[in-house]
Amino acid sequence: MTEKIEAGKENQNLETDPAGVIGITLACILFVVALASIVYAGFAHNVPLPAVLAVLAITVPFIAMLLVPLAALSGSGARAWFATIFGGFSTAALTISLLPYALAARYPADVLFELEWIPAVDVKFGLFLDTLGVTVAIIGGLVGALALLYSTRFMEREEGLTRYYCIMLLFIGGMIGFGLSDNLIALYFFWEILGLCSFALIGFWFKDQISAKAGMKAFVVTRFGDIGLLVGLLALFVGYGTLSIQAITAAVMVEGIILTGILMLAGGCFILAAAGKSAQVPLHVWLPDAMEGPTTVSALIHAACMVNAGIYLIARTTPIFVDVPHWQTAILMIGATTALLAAILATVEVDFKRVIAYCTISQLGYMMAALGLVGGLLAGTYHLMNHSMFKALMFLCAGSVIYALGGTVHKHANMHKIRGIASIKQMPITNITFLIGLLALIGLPPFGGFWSKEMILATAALGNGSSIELIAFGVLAGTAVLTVVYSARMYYYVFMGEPAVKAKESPAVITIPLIILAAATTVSWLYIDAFTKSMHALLPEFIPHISIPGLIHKTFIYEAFISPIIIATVICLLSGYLVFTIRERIYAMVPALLKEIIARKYGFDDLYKGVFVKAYFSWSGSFRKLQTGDLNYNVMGVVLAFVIITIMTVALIRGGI
Amino acid sequence: MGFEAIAPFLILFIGIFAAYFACRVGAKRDNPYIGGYVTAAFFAITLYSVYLLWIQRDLFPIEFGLIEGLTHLRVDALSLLLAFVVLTMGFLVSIYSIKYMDRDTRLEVYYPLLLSLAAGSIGIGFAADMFSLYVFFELMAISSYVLVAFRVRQRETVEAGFKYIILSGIGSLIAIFGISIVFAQTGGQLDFVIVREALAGLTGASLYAAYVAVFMIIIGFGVKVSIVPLHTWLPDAYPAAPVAITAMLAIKPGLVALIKCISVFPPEQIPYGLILAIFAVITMFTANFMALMQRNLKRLLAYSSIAHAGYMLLGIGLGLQYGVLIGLTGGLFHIMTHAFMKGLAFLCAGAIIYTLAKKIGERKSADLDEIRGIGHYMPITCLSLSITGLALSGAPPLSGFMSEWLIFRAGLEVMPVIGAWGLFFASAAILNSFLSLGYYLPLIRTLFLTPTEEKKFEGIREVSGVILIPILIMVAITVLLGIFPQMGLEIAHPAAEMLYEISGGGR
Repeated sequence: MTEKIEAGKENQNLETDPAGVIGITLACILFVVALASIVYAGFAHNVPLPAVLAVLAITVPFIAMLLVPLAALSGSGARAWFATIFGGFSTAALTISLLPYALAARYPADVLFELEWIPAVDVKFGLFLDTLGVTVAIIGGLVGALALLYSTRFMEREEGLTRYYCIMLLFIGGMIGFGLSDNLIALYFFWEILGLCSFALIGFWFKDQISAKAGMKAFVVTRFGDIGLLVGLLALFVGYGTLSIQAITAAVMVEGIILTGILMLAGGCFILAAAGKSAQVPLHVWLPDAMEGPTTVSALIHAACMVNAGIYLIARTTPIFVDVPHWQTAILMIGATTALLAAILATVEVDFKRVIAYCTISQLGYMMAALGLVGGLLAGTYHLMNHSMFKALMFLCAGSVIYALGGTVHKHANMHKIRGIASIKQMPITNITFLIGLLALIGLPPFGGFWSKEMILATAALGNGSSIELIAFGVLAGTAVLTVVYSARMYYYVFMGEPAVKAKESPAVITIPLIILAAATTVSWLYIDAFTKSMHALLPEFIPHISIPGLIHKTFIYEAFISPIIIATVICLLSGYLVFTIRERIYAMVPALLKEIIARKYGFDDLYKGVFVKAYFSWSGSFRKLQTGDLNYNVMGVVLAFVIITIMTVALIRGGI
Repeated sequence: MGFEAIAPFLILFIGIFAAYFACRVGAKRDNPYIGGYVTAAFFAITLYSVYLLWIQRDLFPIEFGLIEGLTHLRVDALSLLLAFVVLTMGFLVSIYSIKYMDRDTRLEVYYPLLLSLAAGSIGIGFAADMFSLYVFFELMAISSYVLVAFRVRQRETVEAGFKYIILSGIGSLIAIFGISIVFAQTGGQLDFVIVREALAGLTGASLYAAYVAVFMIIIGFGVKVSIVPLHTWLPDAYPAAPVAITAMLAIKPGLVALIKCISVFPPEQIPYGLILAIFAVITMFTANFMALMQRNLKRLLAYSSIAHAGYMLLGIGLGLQYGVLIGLTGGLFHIMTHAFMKGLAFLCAGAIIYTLAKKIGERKSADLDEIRGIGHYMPITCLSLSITGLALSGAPPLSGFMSEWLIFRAGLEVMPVIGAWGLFFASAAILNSFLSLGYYLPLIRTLFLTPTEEKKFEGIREVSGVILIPILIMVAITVLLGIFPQMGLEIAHPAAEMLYEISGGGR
């Protein structure tokens, strides 16, 4: 009740202060003017309506970002709500407005729009509005809007919120652009925007050394992946003379794998890129540390959006690389390894948010593995959408718990210390919505995660039956057991039992996004009919059309009676619960060496620090000595240059230039 | 006809006197600002006169004879590219100097020399023959000698200035030697068009003489371009000069002089493009490795501008040698983007040093440990520095990426001609782009760390608006050229096409 009164007071202040209203009014007017001018420019150049809408969806967050500082003149409330409504919800609406078009379009002719960008070097900005891309954009817009709404309360006590909202909006725009662009160079553009925003938001509390360091780590590690994307796209450009993914796909589909070398190079580079962005082994080390950022950032960037970028890149380019030898196998191995290793770490981690982070890595490993299976494109992308919903939900629930603990300062919540804080009596909404997310994660019907996870396991077990896929099935099933273990552990510690800390339910602005996401988690699987129908038209060889009754039939009748996948799942769930109940006894049995290895997180961090960072410093330190200040030596440089140029020319002439 | 071609020089020439008198008047009335305003106004007028030339671009090349048959000016797209960059930078830098130089004396020398530095730089682009080019080049060089050593009271400045004069003087001598060989070969003709015709199809002894001329031109102008191993003056001179001057030097008009003089030779006979490209690779790697452990902000930026000269040389070298239009476009566009990025970086560094000097009382060059954590007190300046740091390391969507990307593409497009070597050039450039993150990221991090001592920066506030305005304008240019590169390519592309044609493009 007091909160409401306070909020009311703030609004009153806003209305009564004439100077305060100017900023927000001006921001709104400029926003509308900018929008109108884009629409006008679009129609003046005869750009079709869907392309105009797509351009708007990409640019609206950017425009809102530029106007946030103006709106901030009217106080922090105006700033937050301007960002949420104009930047967040209008963008979400625009992305959703693309969906009917994408579902109904004739493929692939209708969905590719090429806009002029850099005519001097003949580069066009391609928009590809197919269902997969639009879905990724919708996830960006929708989760972004909800995260912004959530931030209005969650972040209210922070400083530097103009920066926060600007970067959040920049991120949302980047994610939508990433989903919708077809041109590889534009894709790289948005990909880097995502990385920069992630860097800036992880280090949001940059006065805190650990936060700043974590941001830097994330940026450097993902940057290794970026080299992959840049080299890969340049290789494809050399081979095919175009930067359009669709044009390259069409060329590969027609002529097959002719340019094997280029495709192998590009395919390998893209795997590297995906591993960096989507936190796959061995480049996964940045994601747990990324939890130093605000929880809204974790939910938006490190659960629902940016970490999907790598998976999306692989899914998008699967038709190009699928026949490249060993490409899919490599993806499968990386994905399965990641899923298992991260799940093991999740079972021993005690920090609430970091458990969810390891869980995210593990689930991303699932998606990656699915893309590596023969015929697994649908399973992987389907899991991507479901996972975005329930993982964003789980992170926002964690945020709600943190809010109840006293606010954003408690970003590290030791699960043993906050026992039972979100029990059903204290925080009913948070508790139930988190449970829904958890059940989706474990894979219980009817929640979204169940269907896609089941599909992944079934594809692995019933695919081409090669030994590598069967091994992968074993690993993924084992991971499913561990998933149950750490999920149960989380729920057991934080959401059950007598509360160790007194707390009350978070305010409505925080719980409403939770409820919306919980609802989405429950129904997101129904999307499969529309999704596969339109994607089947685009990629008939990769994606079959599955209707909802068909999915139910396949999962419950076929897999239950003909092939025993569902039984395997049930066994996984039960044994997972069993392992959870006897976890202490199992832990006692684990040899000390293994414990040490797990405690060191398999030693990846030590390896990077001990070898690469050290080598880097010693090498650059010794190179520095070459520069002397002595003028006599410096003049010798001119002589040296003559020597070099003569030798070089002689060599070139001898070598026939 | 063609009188408008000389208008920019006349305006700058008048500006030199006007600025001198304005400074004298200002010194009498105890107003150190007036000279800067006058200089900025003259830069703005000159910029407008260049714009008037630009709208006549269908008539290019516009010629104007100073002494008929001996020296004359020729306006083409390349001239205007350089002129736009130099004059825009000059305008911003003189606004910046109003406040930045307010504690210096002898401003009546500073502002006129800034104008003559600009006049020399744009003259390099306008020159139609090697003789006038050399005159303009020396005008630029001599102005910069004085400006680099402007703060003569400081020991390091004098040392750096001395080193700069010696090396640059050697370079000029070698360059004029090279030009004189050309003079002898063509029988007294130095006009670029005539020389190009005279040098086509060389044989025997004259071919060897041409080789020697090419070597001398590359090495002579290469000193100013800072090709490794001729770069040794730069890490001393850039930090010693007032940052406003360093920002002007970072435009590298010497590179345009090099391109103009060298492109008269037939590339199919003398592989100068390939030589430049190989020098570019050496330059990039050496400079980036040297910058990695650098702890002084201005020296770090100085090393980085050596490395960036490498990118430009790589694009232009490959472009000239193999007739790759995209390489020329990328190289020339990189001159533009780099000028604004690096200028911005130096201006930000200068703003930090200026503010610190106000507190400590003396001007110190900024060690990274010294400025650690200053980002909390000067957020706008440090954010701008971070943005340009990312841009310089080639992160999209900023301008540096766009031009570097074109250069990467140039490396790949010569692959059909020279096979794996093209890949080598492209990957060297890509690798260096990522390598440079190795010093820009720690720089950004240092700016926002906690200061070494509590309350070290107590009382330090953001610099005044006069310093911030040029910085913010350049941030806007850096971001806009990254998202809409067409704005810059509008000028850079015709210039590249012109070079492409005269180098017998598309072979």
